[in-house]
Amino acid sequence: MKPFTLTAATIAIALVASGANAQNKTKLKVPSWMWEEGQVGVWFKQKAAEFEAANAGFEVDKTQIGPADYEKVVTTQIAGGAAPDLMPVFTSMLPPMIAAKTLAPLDDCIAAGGFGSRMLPSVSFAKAGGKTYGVPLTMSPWSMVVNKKLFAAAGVPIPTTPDELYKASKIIKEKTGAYGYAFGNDMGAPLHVYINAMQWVIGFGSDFSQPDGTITANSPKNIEAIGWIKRFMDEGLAPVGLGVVQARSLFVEGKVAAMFEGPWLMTQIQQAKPEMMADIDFEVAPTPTHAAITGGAFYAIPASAKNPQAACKLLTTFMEEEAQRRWLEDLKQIPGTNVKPSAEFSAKNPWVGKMAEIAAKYPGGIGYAPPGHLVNAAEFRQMTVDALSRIYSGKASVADGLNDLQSKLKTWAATR
Amino acid sequence: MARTWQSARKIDWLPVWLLLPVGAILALILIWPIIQGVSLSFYNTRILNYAMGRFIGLANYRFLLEDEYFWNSLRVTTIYGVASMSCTYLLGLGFALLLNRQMPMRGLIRTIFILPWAIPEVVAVLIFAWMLDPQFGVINFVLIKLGLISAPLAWLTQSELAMPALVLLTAWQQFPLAMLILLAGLQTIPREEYEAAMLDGAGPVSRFFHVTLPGLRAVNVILILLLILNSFRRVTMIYAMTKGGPARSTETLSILTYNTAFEYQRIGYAAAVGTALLLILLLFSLIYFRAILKDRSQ
Repeated sequence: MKPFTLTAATIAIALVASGANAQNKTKLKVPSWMWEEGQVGVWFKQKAAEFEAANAGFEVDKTQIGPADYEKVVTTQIAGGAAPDLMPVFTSMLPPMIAAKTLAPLDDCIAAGGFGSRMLPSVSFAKAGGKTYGVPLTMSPWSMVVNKKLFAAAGVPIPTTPDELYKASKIIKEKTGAYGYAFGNDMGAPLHVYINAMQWVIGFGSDFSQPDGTITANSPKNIEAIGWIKRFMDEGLAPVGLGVVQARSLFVEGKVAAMFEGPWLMTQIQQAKPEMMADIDFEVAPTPTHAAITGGAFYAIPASAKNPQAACKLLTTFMEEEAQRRWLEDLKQIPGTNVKPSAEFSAKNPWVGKMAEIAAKYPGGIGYAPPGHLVNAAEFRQMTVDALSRIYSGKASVADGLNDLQSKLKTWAATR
Repeated sequence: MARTWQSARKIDWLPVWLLLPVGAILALILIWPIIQGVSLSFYNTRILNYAMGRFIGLANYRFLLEDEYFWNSLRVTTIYGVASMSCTYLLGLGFALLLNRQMPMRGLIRTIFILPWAIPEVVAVLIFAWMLDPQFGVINFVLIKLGLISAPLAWLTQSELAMPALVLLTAWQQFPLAMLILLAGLQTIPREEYEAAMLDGAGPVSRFFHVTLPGLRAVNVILILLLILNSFRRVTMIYAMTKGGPARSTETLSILTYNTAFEYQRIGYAAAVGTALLLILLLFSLIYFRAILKDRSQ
């Protein structure tokens, strides 16, 4: 046989063999908004490769879906009978999915995986009727991220009360031209507008509804809390009309002194401007209760998943102790289990310890899940943001806007 | 009776048989989903318990009549429809009049003016989103340079500015369609009518109002209905640009239907909103076809 013919035949056989090999493997459907998300994506792909190596019959189908469309796509897939095998879900997605009985209980999987004792207490959010329907993926507190350099340049201390933040912002604006405080108030992204309002509302010890479903949108504390946000906007101390992405970019550019954010902002700074990290710190929120609301995600397995056993094995791979440590130390994000960081990491990243301390001392709950209206949370949030939009744009005073919201939410709640 | 039977036998059934497969496919992919959608509107289905929805009769429609967001969307749809139709029509008419004149490189210029229509809606939205960006947008830059505004405007995040921005984009993207139809209409007006008007001493404005506009009457009716029909059923452009926000200021009926179904997961109620929209579109379609038939008979 001629060398060329031999080579061609070998390649053809290899291709056919690999094709047949791929065809024999069962696809484990795992959609996520994180597959292509920088280092987080790398972490997930490494874990998926480890799972594939240990489970030769399976291949992880890594479908990337953007975070903005994730809930819609996954929900439609489940409704259409094409449920994923394993999926990360935003915390707000859990209650409607549990209520609709679309998730499989994970208690047996958790017991078999042996990670139950390490899970964060926030797992309680995924429990219903004595069963556990979700495993915490990440649970990060939102608190105040500050640029110490700007505060020092203006000669003002790190604020601990709303009034101190307000006064500091005025001085920072005068002396440095930077904004004292920034937050996403792009009304096209209602979830971000809602979360930022909740930092203040929960920070004042209030909420827009109570666990029994009672609407408390126009409570005096809410009026005071939203009044503070409005004051920052009206007096030009916070940028108006910016989306959260642009607001974060301004912070990274050193044009904002403080934001209510989570560890993801630290990761962004670390990647974009590592030299800036020395000036950045994670501080207690300057609100009366200092509450740090929690943002996070869970892993869940749909009740109609075709490969629940394999999905459980992949979940166990994600939850291994060393994998969780890498999540914390490499990605600088809070994992879903209790992990003790190494001494070297703690020394290099003191803000992580501070963040954990704040989360433990001032737990604020899941800020974007309106108590008593978890299943219809998206509608509740949209109506609230509609009212905030009128208030922020000056079409209604804070009291009038919230009174109107109170009336609308009460009518709406009566029909649900 | 015998004659009727004979004439029936003379019917050529071949075209009917040839059309039957297409008709069956259309019924399957068009009519059946519409029937499904309408029937879904009588159930309290949520997307996650699609198979477990309970029959609730006309309850979704009763709720719809009392739903302030439905009425808001109807109002927004009407405003958007009329505003975008007017701007698109006026732009189209202006350019059609311009390109109807003798000028060098007329063919090339006509091709250039058709380009916005050839650009996919999502691409057009991305272009405009950058142009309208509060920080880096060229529109704010120009308006500030001209002294028309003192500070950048957040076009897509302020409820009173989002609709004008959307209408601007719609008019820019859709005017070539109006221009082409009007240009075709202009070329059917006999030159003699203009010459007679000039002999009677009519100036350009008078000729426009007494010769051009009456000559375009039939085209205008069809074009205006077509533009309104398009604006009522437009989803991609509005969703990509504003998602119906801020504060529902651009939430047309199509967007309300989408948001109710997929954001709020109330697919039964969304079907009721969709059915209401379908009825409105059917009404416009009937008027549209009547206008076409009237035009043909004339």
